[in-house]
Amino acid sequence: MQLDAENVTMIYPSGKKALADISFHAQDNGFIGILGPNGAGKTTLMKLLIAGLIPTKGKIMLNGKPLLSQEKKLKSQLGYLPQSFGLYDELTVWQFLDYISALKGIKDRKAVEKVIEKTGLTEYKKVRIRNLSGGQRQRVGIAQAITGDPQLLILDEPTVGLDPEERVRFRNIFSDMAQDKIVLLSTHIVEDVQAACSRVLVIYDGMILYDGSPSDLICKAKGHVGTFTAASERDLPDKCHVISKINVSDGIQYRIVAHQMPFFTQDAEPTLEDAYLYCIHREE
Amino acid sequence: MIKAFWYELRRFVFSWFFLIMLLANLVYAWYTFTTDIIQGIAYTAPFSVWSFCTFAGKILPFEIAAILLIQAQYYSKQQKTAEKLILAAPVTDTQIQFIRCAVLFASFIIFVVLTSAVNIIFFMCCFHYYSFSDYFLPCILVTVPCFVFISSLGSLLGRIHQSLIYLLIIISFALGFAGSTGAYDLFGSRFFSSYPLTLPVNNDGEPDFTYNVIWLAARGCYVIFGIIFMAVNIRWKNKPRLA
Amino acid sequence: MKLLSIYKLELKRLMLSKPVWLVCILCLFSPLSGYLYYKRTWTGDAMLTQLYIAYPVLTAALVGSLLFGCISIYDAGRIRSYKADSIIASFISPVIYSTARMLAMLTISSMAAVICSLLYLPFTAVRLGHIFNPGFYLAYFFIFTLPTWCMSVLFVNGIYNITQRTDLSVILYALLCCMSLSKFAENNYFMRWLNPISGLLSDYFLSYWPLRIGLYTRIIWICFSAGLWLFSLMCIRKYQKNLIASIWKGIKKVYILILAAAFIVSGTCLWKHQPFIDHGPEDYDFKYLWDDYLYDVSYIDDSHFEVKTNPLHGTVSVRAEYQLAYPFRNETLLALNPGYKITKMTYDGLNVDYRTDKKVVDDLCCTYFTLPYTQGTTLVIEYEGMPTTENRFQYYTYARCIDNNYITFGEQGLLPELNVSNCLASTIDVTIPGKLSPYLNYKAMTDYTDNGDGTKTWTGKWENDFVDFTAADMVTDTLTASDTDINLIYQKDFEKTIKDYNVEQAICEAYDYCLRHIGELKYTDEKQLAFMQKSGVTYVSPDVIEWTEDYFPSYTSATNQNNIHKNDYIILSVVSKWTRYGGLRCKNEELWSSIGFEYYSLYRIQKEKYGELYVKKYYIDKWQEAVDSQSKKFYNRHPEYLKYLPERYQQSITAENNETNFCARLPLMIIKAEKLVGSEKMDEIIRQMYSDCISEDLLKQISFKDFLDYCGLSKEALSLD
Repeated sequence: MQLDAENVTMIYPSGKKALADISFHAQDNGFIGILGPNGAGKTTLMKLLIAGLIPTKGKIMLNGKPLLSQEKKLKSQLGYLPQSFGLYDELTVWQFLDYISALKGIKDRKAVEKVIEKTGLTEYKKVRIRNLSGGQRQRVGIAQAITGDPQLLILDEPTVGLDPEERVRFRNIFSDMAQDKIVLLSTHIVEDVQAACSRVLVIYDGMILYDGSPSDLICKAKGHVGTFTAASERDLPDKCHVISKINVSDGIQYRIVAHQMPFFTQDAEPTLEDAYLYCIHREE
Repeated sequence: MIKAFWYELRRFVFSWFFLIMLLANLVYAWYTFTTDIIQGIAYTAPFSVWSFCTFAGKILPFEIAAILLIQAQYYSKQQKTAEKLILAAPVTDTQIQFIRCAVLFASFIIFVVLTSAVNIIFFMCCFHYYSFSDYFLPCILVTVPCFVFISSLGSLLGRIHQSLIYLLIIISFALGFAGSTGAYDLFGSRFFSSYPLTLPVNNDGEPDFTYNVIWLAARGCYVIFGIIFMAVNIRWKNKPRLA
Repeated sequence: MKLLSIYKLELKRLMLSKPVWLVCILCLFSPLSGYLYYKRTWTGDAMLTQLYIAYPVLTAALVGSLLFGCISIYDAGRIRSYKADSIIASFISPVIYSTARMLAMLTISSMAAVICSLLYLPFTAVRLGHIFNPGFYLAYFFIFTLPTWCMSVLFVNGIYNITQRTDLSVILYALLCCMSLSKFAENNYFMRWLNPISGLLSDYFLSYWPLRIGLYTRIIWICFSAGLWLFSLMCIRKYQKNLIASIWKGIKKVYILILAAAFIVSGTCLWKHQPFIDHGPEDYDFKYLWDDYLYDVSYIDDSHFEVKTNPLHGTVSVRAEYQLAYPFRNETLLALNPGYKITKMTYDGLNVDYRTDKKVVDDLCCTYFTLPYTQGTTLVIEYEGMPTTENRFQYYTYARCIDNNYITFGEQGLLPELNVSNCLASTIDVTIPGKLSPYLNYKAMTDYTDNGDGTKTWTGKWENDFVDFTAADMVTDTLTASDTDINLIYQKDFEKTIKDYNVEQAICEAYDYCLRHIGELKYTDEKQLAFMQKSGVTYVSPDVIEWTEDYFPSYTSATNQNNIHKNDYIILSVVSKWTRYGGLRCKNEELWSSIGFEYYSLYRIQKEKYGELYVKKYYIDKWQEAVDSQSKKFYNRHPEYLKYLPERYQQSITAENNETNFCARLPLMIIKAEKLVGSEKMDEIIRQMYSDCISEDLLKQISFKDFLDYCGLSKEALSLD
């Protein structure tokens, strides 16, 4: 499978420019993490990729052909989990997943059982969805997305509401699936991207600021992350962004990111989070 | 798709909401039967086809209201959030609309059959009257065009705003209880209580059941308009949209 | 946050809410539908008060209730639909929030009712003119509209608290409304919470009886709605528990449970023990109390009654003193209106034990007593209360009425009936408001004492068992028809209608016709006839004809659905003196009744006055239409199916057939007989029948066969088919 977005711009009827001339390519397999602040355009990009929106300018191609003309083909290979979604509360977990698999045209009778087991919902399969907790509902959402082993998996904040153990588990599941499928994961949790993604897209204000491997992004931030100790907050230098602060015996220890580091700072080894923040604030 | 249809039907039919609406329809059917129909309509027997058609037309507003209430749930906030997952599946909007129509139609049939049974069981038990085959076609002609028209209109209005469906319920009641007696009467009850008075009577003193051409044409028009509304509805959905 | 502060916030929110404003505006327009579209429930809704007070107000009560019900459901479900319930519940108790919301909506509905009443007051005052009473208008509005709107809010909030679902609440509320709107509640004051009935209002006999019963029914339903709402507070879901678990948890608030139970029990008791309508049969069962009893040997030498009316409460207290010729030997029966309670019974000063049977027969309840063994003669019975209206006539609200403007007791509504054959002489002292003119047995009372407190005590006497007492602001016109004095008694303000309709002329013409074509009235000693205006059920006796203001519709005949023309009802009343109480008394058979002769005489009188074409258009054609319609009806063509119907349907069909037979078919048959034998011959026949009956026995009744014999015709000759 090959997915291309060429010079895509998306302007909503209210005038808001959600995406500005972005280009993007994904092929065959890979676990792509999409990072960006609120309102950056991540969800808009995802909706464009599932043919939920039509771009104002540019085109999106699936296997070299326009996406909109192959909507059914796309959806037959798509697993999608939006950021906010509802479920049919009247049905049980098994019934709902069976219903989704029927809509997806999945003939394999064991597909539902497999996905229930995979997502750890075995003990809840006969429970009505209205009686599930928020995290369990999230698992049902993930389960319906991975039902039928889709070639393209688009997940928008999938690990919201999951405990750390479950997050790790699902991260591993997505990672396994990314061996031979395209998995797009939009998240605020940088750890998820760091731990599993082979490629990172940083979106800010409708533009792709970075598209590459996490390690390259980290390299770019080298020399732009440092620490220092200050007596009080009044001693903070200008044009820098505080990543963290820790109270220590002789003041407050700051970890900052800046394009030009002040002389009194000590260089620190950047993490992916530092690199992400540097990438965003560099534009400012 | 059949499985999807059954699940959709199950969502509505196996719920307290449906049961209470069904009970309300049955109560109203019994009330209509015991107050009006049992005395015979337009000087015909209470078990005549005329009386049955009037009965079907009188309870139709309640049945349509029940269907519209089910339909309104398709345009509720909860349904819209659930639809995000459904629309990601490889089903076309046309298929989804057909499934919904099938669910509404199946629910409607349940209402019509059970409320008609009120009539039929009474005649069998009390009047020892068993000849009901004549009811079938007139029942379809009375109920189905009305269903097609109103439910298609409802799906179109629901697209604009859910509350318009509730407005349609009120309009349906108004038409049902204060509508015209002409052949174009949507529900038919007032037509069937006045039309037989214009016909010549047979040896039994009752007019034979015949279809009025204008009435049949009107029913056809309602079906056609219903299909047009449905086509617009499907076409609308197929146009590019904002999620 | 406390209830009061949340209530203020909610009230402010509702007053800024557009849907609430829309509902209030629609409620303000709701009385208009009462002016424009109303359903005639009874024959006599020609009164201005009915058209301009009753219909708009009752329609407003119905429409406003539905509107406030809808907005309450919308408002109640709003929090849940926006998924804000968990947020709100984190800082306000759901019970307090629900209560504050309900109270705020109650306040809005009350304010809307007040504004609505004031909005239509000027128009109503102009339309009613001199008969407008602002106190009555406002009381009527507030009793019927305001509580009904509030009840709707209470019911909806209660239902929503229990179901916690908007759609289910809509359905259950709709079912509750349907209960009130159904035909089963059509004539039942106490079932109609949504669309109350108040009974017929009168323009000329202003009475607060409709307001009393209206207020009573509103209180009953307020008790039920408040009880349901209080109970529902226990059903509000907390701690994510379901309905049963929430109730179980809520039971710990015992005071709510007790209060809810108290309201519901109060409502039930009020319903069961309502003092306005007796618990007799709903339909006329032709059963008379004295059919089952033999008269005792004793008779009453004379009796004296002291009656004190209390118009404020609508009650009366009576002291009845009987001088017995001989003491009763056995257990004796005293029959009294079911609304009265005997407080004391003595015989020559000794207390008498008695027991009352609550079963109502013929509009009376029986009290059984045995006199102590003594040679005394004086039996004293004291009782008091509000006289009840008969169940089968419950929509005729003024049949018994004790008010500042109108007092009447109807038949059997004031004095007890004892199990004796005769009472030789009776006197009465009755205390009533000073401005009223009393009539005892249709004659004006003349002796009175001014009590100085705005009341007068009038004294009268009579010499038979029958007593009728009416008091109102009435005048008497004496007409002379042949050699008979006819006292036309009517309410003072009705004079213009009397003149507009030429009522006096119509009475005299009808009287003259009957004298000429039927015969002399021979059964009264005094050649005097009373035509008395009343409100409610009318009564006709040998010397009396009671009539009501709805005999003369105040609107045109174009809107007159019963096709009552001019003075038809008055003419029928006059003729009934010769038919039902005179010689032309007919046996009640399927196709035979005195009523047929009344309508035939009406036809003849109108034909003499207006000509052949007129009577054909307004009588013959209408009657023929009714007869044709009757013969087409299924159960008349196939009477074998009647037995399969429930009894009340059979009775309804029989009653319908009787009405058509007597009021349409029979007069047409008599007209056909007249055509066959000739008018003059028919007059002769009628005179002959009348005279034969009078000369033989007042109890003789003419059968259909007798009539055919007189005419020399066969049944087939008169058939209309």
